[in-house]
Amino acid sequence: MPELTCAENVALPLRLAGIRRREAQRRALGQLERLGVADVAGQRPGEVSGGQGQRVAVARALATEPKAIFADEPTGALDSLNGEQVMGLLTQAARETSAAVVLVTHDARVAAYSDREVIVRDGRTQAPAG
Amino acid sequence: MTALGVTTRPSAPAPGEPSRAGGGRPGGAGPLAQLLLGARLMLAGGPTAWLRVAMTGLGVGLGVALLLVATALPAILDARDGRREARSWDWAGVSGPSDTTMMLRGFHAEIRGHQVDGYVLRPDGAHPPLPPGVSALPGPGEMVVSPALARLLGSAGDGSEAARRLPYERVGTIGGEGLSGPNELYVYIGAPAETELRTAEVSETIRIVGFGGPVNFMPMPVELVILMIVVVVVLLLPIGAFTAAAVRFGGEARDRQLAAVRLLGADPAMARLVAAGGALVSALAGCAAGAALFAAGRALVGHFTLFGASVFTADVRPSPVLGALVLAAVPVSAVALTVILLRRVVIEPLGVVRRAVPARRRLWWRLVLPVVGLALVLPLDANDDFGLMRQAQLGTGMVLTLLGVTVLLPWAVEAGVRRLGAGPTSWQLAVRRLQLDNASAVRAVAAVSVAVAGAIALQMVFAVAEKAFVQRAVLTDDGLARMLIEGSTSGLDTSTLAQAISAAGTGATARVFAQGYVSSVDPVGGDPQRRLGATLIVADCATLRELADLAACADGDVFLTHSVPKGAGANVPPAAPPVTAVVDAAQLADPATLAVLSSGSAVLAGPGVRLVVGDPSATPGDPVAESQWTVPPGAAEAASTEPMFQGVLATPGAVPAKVVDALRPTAFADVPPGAADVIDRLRGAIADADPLANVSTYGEVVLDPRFPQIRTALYVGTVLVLGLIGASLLVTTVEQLRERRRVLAVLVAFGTRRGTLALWRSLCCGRQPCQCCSAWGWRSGSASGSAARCCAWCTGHRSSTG
Repeated sequence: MPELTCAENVALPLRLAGIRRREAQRRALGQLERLGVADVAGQRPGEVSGGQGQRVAVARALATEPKAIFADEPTGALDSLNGEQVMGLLTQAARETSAAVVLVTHDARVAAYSDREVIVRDGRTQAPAG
Repeated sequence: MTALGVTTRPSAPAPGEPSRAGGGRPGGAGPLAQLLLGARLMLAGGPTAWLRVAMTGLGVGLGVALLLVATALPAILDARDGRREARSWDWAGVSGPSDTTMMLRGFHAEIRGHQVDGYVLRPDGAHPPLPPGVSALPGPGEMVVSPALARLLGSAGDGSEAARRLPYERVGTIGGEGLSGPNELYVYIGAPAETELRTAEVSETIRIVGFGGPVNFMPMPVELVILMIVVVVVLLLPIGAFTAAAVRFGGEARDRQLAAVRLLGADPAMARLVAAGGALVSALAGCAAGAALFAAGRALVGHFTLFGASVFTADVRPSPVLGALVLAAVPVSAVALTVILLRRVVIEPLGVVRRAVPARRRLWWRLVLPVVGLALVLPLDANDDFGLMRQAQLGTGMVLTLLGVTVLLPWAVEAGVRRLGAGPTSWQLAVRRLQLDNASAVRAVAAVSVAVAGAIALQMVFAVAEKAFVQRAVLTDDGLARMLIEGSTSGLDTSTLAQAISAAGTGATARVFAQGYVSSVDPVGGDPQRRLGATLIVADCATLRELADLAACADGDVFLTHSVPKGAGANVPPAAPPVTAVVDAAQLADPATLAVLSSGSAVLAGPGVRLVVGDPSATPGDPVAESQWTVPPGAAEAASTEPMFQGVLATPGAVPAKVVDALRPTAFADVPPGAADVIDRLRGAIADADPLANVSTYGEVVLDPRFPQIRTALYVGTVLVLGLIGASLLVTTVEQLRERRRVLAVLVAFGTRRGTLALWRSLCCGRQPCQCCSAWGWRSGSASGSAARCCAWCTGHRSSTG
């Protein structure tokens, strides 16, 4: 949501889930801190770097402590260093909250973070590995 | 790949397990919180978002301002009518001149296109009544003028002509309470000694006891009722249509936002409420802008005159109930409209990315509204009694028909656009855009077409009404305009008037004669209150031949002329019933004649009837009451060439000089058409000889005084609504251009020359070089190269321009 600040972005799913503003803000800041982007809390997504933006997105995804996270090319716009950082944080946070991550990627290095891999080629799944 | 491309599905807590989100209610926060979120999203996002709110606010505000004007209309009209009534004459119980009475004659002059009205007055005694807004009556040869007329007299351009036509000493100013509007040109002239004011002689001359007499209005004719309904419907509907279109400005940005909100876990109902919150902000901004525009317009309204109508600022008071209704209805209907319209839209988390071609619009239900509307309107017959039911039927029918245009149009646009083929790039882009999403274009066009369809309907009804209420009369066969000039004093003889007309050098040909209102000395049928009236015209045979079809004429002859209306039939005004009877002296005393007179038929004074100039029964004591004359037995009947020459036509040899002296010089002039200047010059030349001469141009004869009022209201309303349409189209276009940025970014990416896109540089590269390129839909892998080029161009442009 480019209209909202990073902190508000993270708090939004909590607010939509019916949590009070202060509590949502507190949790949002906690998530941002956990992902190392607390310093951009007051900035808008358009004003932060791609890596920071994606970390904010991860924080927003984790904010409601979901059981499953669906991620579509989470590292697509990032350089390899930032991509690895984001993936590390995502997997770490998912393990901490016991959430499953379903992730779509073209990048074999990103795929390597997964516990189970499904290759889809021309619309058909290929031999499952891992 | 999305910028923040992580999708979550919050899980519902298991039974018995506390919510993992920590006390959250399934289904989300209250509706108020979602409305507030929508409002927050609308306002957040920096200058772009504010611009969008400002655009919507302006678009809605224009409509709100006009609706507020509509709510103030009753107060404006009441105040105007009240002040007009306050200066109308009161002649109840006048029996003759007294200390408190006054002679009054209407004064109307057109000076270089400025209509000046007022009264010529002469008090009978020391304590005459004062007209409203006047502290002291002007003496003979003096005048009291309205502020606007004072400005006109002092102006450089038309001031000298105005001063020529009003050569009186200015001794005061009329206050606002005596004027219908701040820019009204109004004057009270103290009659100079030589001016004769006699009752019933020249139109609008009367003896009064005061001002503020009751004004009796007849029940409004059916045609005028129809006309008013049409005017109201036609003027109000486009306002509604444009306001509705403005509320939905920024639809694409909203779709993107709603998809994002859905992505973050909102259900469709919540998303609709979020959207409604945004619409609420727009509507509130619109109400604020509308109120501000209205207040600004109200403060300035006194400076403007539209079609002769001007309004005091103090009169513009919106009705509290209606005003509150407008200010409440706009936000409420904006929210309702948004929620209802979004019900049919599936907002999916990826709704923007996977935009499909919308389903084809269906025709059948769109035909229902116009068909029902036409079914209501067509059976109506203007000859029927137009009660409340019929009025409602007409109004409803018109509203439905016009609304039908708006629902039919999207289908028509879609059907039309589908058939459009290839062409140049710009054409292709435009056509493809319309084929994929024509909603916003259709909305703007729909509002315009309502206005146009309404205007056409209005024109048709108006043309019919004009035929009924305005007689475009007295044009000669070769198209000359005609003027009637009535001298103000009998001292001015006919040759002086003829000289003044020929001296003007306008090429006008005039028939000059002495004319006056005469009435029978003896009452009709023994009723002392009823006397026979007629027009007495005295002129030589050459002139009389032009006024009536005379077989033979010699000095000493008298003719009784019947009116034979031109083009008898459809255009005969009801005010001119056919001449039926010529009454001689014996019949005059017969009570049966009274019945004929009461039936509305014209009755002519025939042989043996004693006539006197003026109307002795209305105002006894007029000095001319002694000038008597009896219609000779040999008076021949003839047909007049114009209805106004109906009466008694006499040659000078047939009428005593004393009677002729009491008549006034009158001229009926044919003026070459098409030159306002000619008419002005003629008016000026006549004013030099007789400033208070009553000069009227026979362009049109209006048969109901309310028709011109409605016509003026229509003109003013049309100007305002057209202004709204223009301004709204401008705002809509700017808003649509803003939404087209994506297309422009694509064009940049494909190498379109910068000059072509100069307008877009600030929008595209103002702040964040890549924001626009990455945010505008470059989400498929194949296009990322182009996105990179877009970014590179933006960045390069930014660094090169600093």
